[in-house]
Amino acid sequence: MPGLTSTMLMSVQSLLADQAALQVTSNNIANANTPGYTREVPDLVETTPTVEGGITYGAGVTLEKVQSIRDQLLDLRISEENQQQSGAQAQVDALNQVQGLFSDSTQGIGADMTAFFNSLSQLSTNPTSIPQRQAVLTDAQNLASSFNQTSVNLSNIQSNLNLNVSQAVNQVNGLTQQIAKLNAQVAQMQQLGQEPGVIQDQETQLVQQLSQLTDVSIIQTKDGQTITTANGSALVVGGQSFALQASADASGVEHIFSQGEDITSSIKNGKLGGLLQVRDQAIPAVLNQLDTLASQFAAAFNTAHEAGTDLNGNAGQAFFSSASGAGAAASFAVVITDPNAIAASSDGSAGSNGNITQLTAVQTQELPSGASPTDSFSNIIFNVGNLTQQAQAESDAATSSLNQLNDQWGAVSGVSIDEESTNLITYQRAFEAAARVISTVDQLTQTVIGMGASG
Amino acid sequence: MAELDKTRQHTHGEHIARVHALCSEVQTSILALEKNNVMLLEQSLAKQEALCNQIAILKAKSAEAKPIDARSAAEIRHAYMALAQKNRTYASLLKRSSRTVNLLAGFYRCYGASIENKSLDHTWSCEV
Repeated sequence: MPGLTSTMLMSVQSLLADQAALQVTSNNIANANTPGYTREVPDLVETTPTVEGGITYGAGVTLEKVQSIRDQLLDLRISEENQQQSGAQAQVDALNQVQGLFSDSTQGIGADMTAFFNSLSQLSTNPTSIPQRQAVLTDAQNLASSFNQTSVNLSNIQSNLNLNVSQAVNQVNGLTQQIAKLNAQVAQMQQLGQEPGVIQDQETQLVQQLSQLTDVSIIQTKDGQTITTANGSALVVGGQSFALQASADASGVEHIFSQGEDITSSIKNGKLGGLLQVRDQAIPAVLNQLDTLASQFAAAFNTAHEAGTDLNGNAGQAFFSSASGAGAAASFAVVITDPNAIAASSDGSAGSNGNITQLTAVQTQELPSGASPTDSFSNIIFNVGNLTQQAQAESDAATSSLNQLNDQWGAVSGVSIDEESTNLITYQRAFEAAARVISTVDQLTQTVIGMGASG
Repeated sequence: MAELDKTRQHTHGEHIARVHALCSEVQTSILALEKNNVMLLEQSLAKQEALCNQIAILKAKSAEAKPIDARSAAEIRHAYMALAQKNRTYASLLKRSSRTVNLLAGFYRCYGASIENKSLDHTWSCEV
């Protein structure tokens, strides 16, 4: 039959369990506003009962472990959305810079093209006027400068993105090193039977930061989290991290390598994915459209110009020069420097303005690309705007989705002050009751001792 | 003539107002999804349906009330562009929410399957 001593021991055990539960509750309350903190619950279990004389006696309570409340499915979705949100936002930031090159309607290629054709129209009213001819050349120079400057600015944005790529790779490597260290700690604590909740919280935070940088797959193993890139290359396995390398090719473009393999094209999400998307696809597409416009416009205008006669009675020569294909916009230039060399005449007479009609017609004439120069430029603006709006919509949707998932995460893993306040009172009452049991057992013991003394 | 112009302006004004209202209602649906508020989502969907019907009628009226002035045309175009952009975000959010729901459904299916398999090995009382 259990004696007063075993009752006393059971009560002490109960006091200790309630005290530990109170500590867990107070830690939850203290971390109610700590980002990434996962609430903990004390796992109280009944101590193995004792059997004496065929009767089973309860043996009190034990705090078996303190458990963090996690939902791995939500963690996975938050990681996915972080990757997509950061990728889309990186695209929006970069594309906004590209859009800035085309958004001003008062300057740039569009405005300069309009000004150039307006000057030509004015020249038709007085084709022998040298100041009018000079104005045409000045506006042609402005148009050429706009083509050159836009091409240079696009290349500069591309170079800046290139720089950001290598910086992001360094950030990825820093994070994977930290995660590997925490992975090792988690495994060690689990081996010792300790609850690694706090370390796992830190690890989850770092994994979310990593997700913002690149697309990763996370697999839970007995050695902690195994993290791989989108194409399956290992980033973290147990306590070991595998660094990514950024290495520039002959043209200075940074490529990303994982254990010797070029994985640049497989990175689609995270900040890195967004930067690579704009650097390797969006900007080259815009540059290609711009080069096509520059070379086809130069060719069409030169054809019209060569059909006329200049003020000196000579056959018209090439007005613009431009490389064909890549680099056409960057090399776009005005060949003619002499105002007299503008071939305004169609019949060879100095006063004729017949060829100006042909020259101004180029503005609305269909180029080999299938659109007029003005429409081609509008298409570039539309494409850039469309890409930006699409990325913005993706970023907004991913942000909303993250809010939705974070709300759900809060409901599962977040600290509810109301719930913790209730727990506080519950454990306080249990602690008081256990203390009262001890006090009662103490009185009973004194009574028993008194009985012995009086006997 | 002035009366016709007034009617035309009124129709266009109403048309733009309804498109703006639909845009705002799509935003409400986005917020409802964010907050997992099914009731608000259902109310918003009902309002969207009503607004779509009204817009279809007004669109037909606007087409009859041609020619439309450039300012009104630009206003209508801007309103529809804003609606299209909001729709893009909404469509993408629905796709993302579906992914969460599918993952959860897959998880429960997997869990259910494991119970079903167990039931082959154990008696009903064991399971209880």
